[in-house]
Amino acid sequence: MDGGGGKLRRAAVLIAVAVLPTTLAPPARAQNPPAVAPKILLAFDASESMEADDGAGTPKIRAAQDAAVSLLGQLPSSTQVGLRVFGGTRPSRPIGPACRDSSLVLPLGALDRAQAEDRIRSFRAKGRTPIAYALERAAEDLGTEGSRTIILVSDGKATCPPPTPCQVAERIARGGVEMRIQAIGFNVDDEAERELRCIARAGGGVYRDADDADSLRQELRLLSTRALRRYVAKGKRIRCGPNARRATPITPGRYVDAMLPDSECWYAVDLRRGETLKASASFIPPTREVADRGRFANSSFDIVTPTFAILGRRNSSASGRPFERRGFIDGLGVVSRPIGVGQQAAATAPFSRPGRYRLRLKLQDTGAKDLYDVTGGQPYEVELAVEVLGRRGGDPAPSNDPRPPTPAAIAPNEPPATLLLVVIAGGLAALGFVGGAALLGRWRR
Amino acid sequence: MAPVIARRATIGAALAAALALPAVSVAQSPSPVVGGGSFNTAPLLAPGAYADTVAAGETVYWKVRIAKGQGLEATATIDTSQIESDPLKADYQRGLARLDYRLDLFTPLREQLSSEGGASYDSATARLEGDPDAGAVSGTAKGPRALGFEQILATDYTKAKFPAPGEWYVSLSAADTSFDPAELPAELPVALELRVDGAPQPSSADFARSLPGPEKRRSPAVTNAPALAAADEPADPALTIGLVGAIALVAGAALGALAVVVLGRRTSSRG
Repeated sequence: MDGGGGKLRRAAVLIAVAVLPTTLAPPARAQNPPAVAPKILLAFDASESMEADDGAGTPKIRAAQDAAVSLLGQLPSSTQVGLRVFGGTRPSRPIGPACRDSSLVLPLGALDRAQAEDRIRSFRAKGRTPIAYALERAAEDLGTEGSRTIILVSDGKATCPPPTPCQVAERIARGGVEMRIQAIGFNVDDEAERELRCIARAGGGVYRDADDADSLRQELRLLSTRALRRYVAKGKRIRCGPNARRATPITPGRYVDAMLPDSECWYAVDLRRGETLKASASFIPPTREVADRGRFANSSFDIVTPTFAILGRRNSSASGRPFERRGFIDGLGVVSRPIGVGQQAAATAPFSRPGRYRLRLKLQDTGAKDLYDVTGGQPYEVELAVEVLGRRGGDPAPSNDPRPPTPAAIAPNEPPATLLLVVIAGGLAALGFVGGAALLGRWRR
Repeated sequence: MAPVIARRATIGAALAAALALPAVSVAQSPSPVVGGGSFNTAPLLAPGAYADTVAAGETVYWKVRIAKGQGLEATATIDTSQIESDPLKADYQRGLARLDYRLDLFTPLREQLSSEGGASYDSATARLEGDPDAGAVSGTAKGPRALGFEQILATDYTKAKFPAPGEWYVSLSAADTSFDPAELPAELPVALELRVDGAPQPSSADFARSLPGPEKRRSPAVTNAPALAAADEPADPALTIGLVGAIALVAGAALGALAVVVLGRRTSSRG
């Protein structure tokens, strides 16, 4: 008899194991990394003069190294950063080799902060200031794709024969609007400032002045942040569900997701009586060309009620063309009404029921599949912002909620997990089996 | 070429200053700020004067907190003196000369307000304009007064876009087009001025708590019986567990009893 109970229990465990992967595994979906990460190449002066004091007791070269290290600590890890120096290894004469003295101290790549710091601190100050040569090499380092920025830091003007750095900058800028040269003058005189301003202007960037280590650090951060503001989405990275049943549950916050054209993204938010759901979504175009060809692509964002109704009105649905202009990002916003109170208290009102509301985001490609084609099948980054109005510290006052309190292990308004049900039912069935058998056995005897 | 550029820069700067000055009530130097490339990265700014840049082909986003009863007004002045406007000059580039500068206000729902239509919403987008030779363009976008949540959520407010209280977004774009693409990079200094008028009035989505809820429910057993269906009223998990457990217990007991009967018969038939 006991053996029978054991078998049943084993069966229950078996069922539970079979159910487990389907309930716990995240929805499988093709996920490529987002398109071309922005690239920043720092081009630092390592000529003899950088040994001099910055006016506050630190050699300028140390100040520059400190600023670069501190910058690395602040950049998002998706950035690609490199460091090239000009001067640093050869004496000022003979002039030929000294004017081709530039080394890539830190090659462009994903951020490895510990390794990068060692490399940044490794270079010394020596020789001439071959800015033009360094710019040419820096442009080669950055390649021809995506958002690229050279940030030039120098404490003096170029000390090499033509071409002038300004001419070189002008030539590099012909690589398109995504290639920019920024210049920072570190403790410079008027003549050097004029040259650096000319480089920045020709290179489509701006010139900034730095007097000491602190201002250098600040300017470097300012210019880098500006270089990165395109194409860097911010928020907690999540992965949406492909349909209503597998909607990814989320709490209020800011998120970043990625989706392919002609797909749907589903999220779920649990709402209690008196709360209001407010959500926005926007697409970040991976390349500038998206707006040229994908102008007629469509997008929509809807609130789906617990009864799976999509109202398409009362601001709970939004739609629009996501890529109307180059570089412009528009948002889709939806809002529910306060759930189950006031006008929505009537059972027939659209937002009468507390429970699981879902958000459906759609990105519809053009007839010719331009969105897909222009990025070579790369996903589009999505920014999401979700807010629940009228929620107090995540735990609303239960006064308006007529339902009895539920155990903490189970989220309110949600059917209990299958696993939990199987375990409880299995245990009770086994107990019943043993109990029933024992009772009947005793009675028959 | 250099002196021309320098002169243009001076004119541009002077013009930018002249345009910005009358609006700034207290003489102050604008604080440098770095706008974000999209909504999630937009920095929160207080009303005041700021200095940023916008590059050709780029859109920059900032945000401002607005309370019920307040309206947001943003003025942007872009120094375009580095862009050659004379088609006969060697460094003229059509894409840069024809950049489309626009200032947009977005509601806290991140919706472009002007696309809704209606006089007070149309002014939420402004095209920045200036004479090509002036070396600067400027424009002002003005949003409607923010309404309280109780005004727009509790009633059937008819507009599809809400001037709700919360974080409003301001964006400035210097867009080029595929017909006239910007082929050279250009990063242009921006003087941004944000003004908020009107006294803030309290409005909180908590107003919903004081609204009447539904009438007392009928017996919960009736509404919650098809507990696993989940599509209708969300199930009470305790009830679901109880029901399933009870069924399991009864079924187990019946099976146990059956086992005893069957085993008993076999034993007796063998005996």
